[in-house]
Amino acid sequence: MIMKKVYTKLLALLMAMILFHLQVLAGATPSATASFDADNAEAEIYEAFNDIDELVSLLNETDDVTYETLKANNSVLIENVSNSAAVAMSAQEKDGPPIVSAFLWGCVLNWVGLLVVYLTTDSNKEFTKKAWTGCLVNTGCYAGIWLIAVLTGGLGGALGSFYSY
Amino acid sequence: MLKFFLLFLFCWLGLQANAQLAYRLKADILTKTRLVDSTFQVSKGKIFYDMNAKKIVYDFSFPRKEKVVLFDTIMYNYENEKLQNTSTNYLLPEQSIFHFMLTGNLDNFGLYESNFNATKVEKQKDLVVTTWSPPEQLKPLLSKIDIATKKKQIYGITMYNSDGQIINRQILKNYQLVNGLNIPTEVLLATYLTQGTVYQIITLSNVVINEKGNNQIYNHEL
Repeated sequence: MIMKKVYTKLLALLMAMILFHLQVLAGATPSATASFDADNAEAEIYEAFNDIDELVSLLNETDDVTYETLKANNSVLIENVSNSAAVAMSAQEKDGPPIVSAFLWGCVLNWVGLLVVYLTTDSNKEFTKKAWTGCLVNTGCYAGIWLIAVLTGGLGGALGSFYSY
Repeated sequence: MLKFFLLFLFCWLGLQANAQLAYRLKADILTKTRLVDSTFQVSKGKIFYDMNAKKIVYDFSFPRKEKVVLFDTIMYNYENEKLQNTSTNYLLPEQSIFHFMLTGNLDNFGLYESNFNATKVEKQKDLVVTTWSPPEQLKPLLSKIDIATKKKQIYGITMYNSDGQIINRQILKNYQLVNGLNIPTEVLLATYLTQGTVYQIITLSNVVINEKGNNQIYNHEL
């Protein structure tokens, strides 16, 4: 039990480091290079939610409405809105692994990404399959590069210099 | 003059005492998230946080009636008080904004304690922006963090990667004084990723500090 707790904490720390590293490596969008500009920063974030203004107004007016009642009435207010709750200070891909897609986890971090997806989605088959696909694409890319290297003689040279030691 | 000074001193000490003794927060909360694929998540409900119980409890009414409890590294989802599932939680309650609100540590978000150094202070319009440099081991990943204050209250946090590009931005606004604590009732977030940007707006209302009773919800049974 204690080992499991320690393991989970270590995994959370590892995840935080990987996420942070990915975000830093990911770079930024062109719009995110300007110096601190309070008005533009606020406007950019507010504008991102223009499409759900009506839904938010409705929620502010009443306490009784749920996603199911809106869905039952074929309401357009929930177009592009998922039935997953938004948890403050945390953003997940629906019920999937955090921030980046399962495919990217597998593609970028290979078997480590696969393990992360498996553990964080409670072994969800759909997400694990996506991670596997990413993993295979990653492996395929490496195999392709290796094949090109062999065909062009680059690998032979590399191996030759390795064995000369 | 002395009487005025003593009155001021007592008032100030009273406010400090109130701030230090704050241990519980309850509020109505509305959270909107826009994911990188331009789909949305919206939730409405109440939040309960008790520093001693170390649990953040969300009692949602939208999208459906459910409770979400964050404790340590686990997120618990309950419907009709029955546990539906658990998943890994990456927001430790003791490191959340709700914890900083109660402890009064919003001003530097713990950067000072994390060996960051304040290297520059400049005025930009009505903001005072302090630039914090990270410790050596973080420099390959993070070049700086800017913390902007407006009227002596934290307004914005901007994180830059090693190329000087913004990777994360948080804005805290609409402060309300509740029981001697300055509580930002609106928090805006943007996280910039290669595949797109994740946006989030958190709105708090009807904030109550140190509510008596209701122990079963603050320390929700797991």
